[in-house]
Amino acid sequence: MDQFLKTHQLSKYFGGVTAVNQLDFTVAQNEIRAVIGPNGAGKTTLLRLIIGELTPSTGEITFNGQRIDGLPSHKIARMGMAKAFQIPQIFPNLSVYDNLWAAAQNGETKLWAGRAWRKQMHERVETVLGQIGLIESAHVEAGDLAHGDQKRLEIGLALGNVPKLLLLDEPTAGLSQNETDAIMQLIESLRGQVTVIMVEHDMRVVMGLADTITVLHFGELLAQGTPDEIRADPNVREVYLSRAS
Amino acid sequence: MMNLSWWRVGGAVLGAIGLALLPYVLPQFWIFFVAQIMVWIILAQSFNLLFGYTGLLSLGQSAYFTLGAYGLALLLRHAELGLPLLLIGGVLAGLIGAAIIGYLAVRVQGHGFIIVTAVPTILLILLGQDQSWLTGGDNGINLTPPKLFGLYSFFKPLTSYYVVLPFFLLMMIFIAWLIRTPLGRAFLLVRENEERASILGYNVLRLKYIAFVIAGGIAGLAGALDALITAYVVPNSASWTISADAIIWTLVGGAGTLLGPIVGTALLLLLREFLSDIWAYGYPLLLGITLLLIVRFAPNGIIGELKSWTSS
Repeated sequence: MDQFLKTHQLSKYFGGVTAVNQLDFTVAQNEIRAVIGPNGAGKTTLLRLIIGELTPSTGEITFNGQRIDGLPSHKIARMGMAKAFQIPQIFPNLSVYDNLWAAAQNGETKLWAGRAWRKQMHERVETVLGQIGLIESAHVEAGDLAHGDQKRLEIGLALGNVPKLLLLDEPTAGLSQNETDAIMQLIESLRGQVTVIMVEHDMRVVMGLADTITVLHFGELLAQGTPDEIRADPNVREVYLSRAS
Repeated sequence: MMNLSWWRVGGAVLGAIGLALLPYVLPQFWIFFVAQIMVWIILAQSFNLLFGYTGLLSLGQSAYFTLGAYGLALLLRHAELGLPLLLIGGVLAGLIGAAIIGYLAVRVQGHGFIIVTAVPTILLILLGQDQSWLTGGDNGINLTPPKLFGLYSFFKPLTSYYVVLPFFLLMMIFIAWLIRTPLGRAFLLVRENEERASILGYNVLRLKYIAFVIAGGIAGLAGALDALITAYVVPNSASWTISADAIIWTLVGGAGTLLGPIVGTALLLLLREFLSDIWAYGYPLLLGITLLLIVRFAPNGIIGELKSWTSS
């Protein structure tokens, strides 16, 4: 599917400020897309619009063939979308295991949980625990984890309901080199199984993982292409790469 | 999380047997007193479900308690119904009241929620005082509950005790079960982090509403049982200070635990009872000091602190 996620003339205004401006943005199924751009380019706003945390001012969003703009985020999430926040949004007084269980449960609120269902939940939790490397900490209260581990758990929460589209808002922000490598490996291991849209500042991560890079500037599309194309693009060098270095 | 280990089930069974046998060793006065404690524990659990498990600070549980009491009282007065239907009527009155108020309340965030839950307590009292033909006004209504199985009068403490006990146990089992269902786990997520819960596919508004209505039904049951055993209902029982009592008992015992409201309510009511004859100002003074100490040194309440000691 070439247009697994598509925005059409998408805009978001905050008062007089235009965060996203008439953006046409398309992501193919199972690709890893990086969205980069200087601060204030509208990257985080774009992610929040896609998963319904914010309602678009104008424009349309289509996910997996269905219009989703205007839907509440819990409905969009249940259609197979998940997001990892830049600042970990975990359930601090629950154990790591119960955090991931909450994600695996995927919005389900029934009154009867059969043995088969619970086994399925348990297996999902175990799988994600392995993926994010927190098996040892399964029974630690999430609020007691170190920052790096909270960041892993944050990504684990996004993986827990086996999403089709994974949004990552700066997955490696504030992490050490080793921790960043671990997150990169984790994202790499998802290649071909999940569609990923990743907002990231670390160029090593972006260049190492992305199939395609989208560069935003003042809420508009500045450039789009493979990592090599983006590296060579004079406009991009002008507004972004030169400042970042 | 919260696995039903053998010692918990064993402890609960032992506790239930102990409660069933308790009247054999207690004097008459204390039999009634323990029955009343059990009723208040049910009210405290209603608050606990909202605040302890779902993170919603409600000042309004006394309203649904009073609706439950009047539901039973009015059915008793105007319809010849048996005990089970009377109690169901009380629960329904609480459920319906909470279904109406909750619809508004859960749409308000933060401090506004507290106010929206508190307002109906005042309205109910004013309405009750005004419509005295129905409610008995400030004097309330004295009831004559039907004899249990046509044999046992509710003016005997033993009858009250053995009618309250099964409902008390049922309620504790109900809550223990509820918080282990996928729905109950989802309540915790609302308490912990609404934004995250919503992005994980949980309809936070709907969850809050469900918790609010269930809690209203539980408070309604407490009110109906109270009306039955005291044979008396009065609009002033809707006062937010009754809610505040339930809140304090829950916080001292430990919100968000099943045992907390049981321990907190029993301890503080016993304290009040012992002090009432010997030192008139003793209870409010000691209650104040206890609260300060709890907030300062044991913010998770008695059971909450015990839990974190044993787990670390």
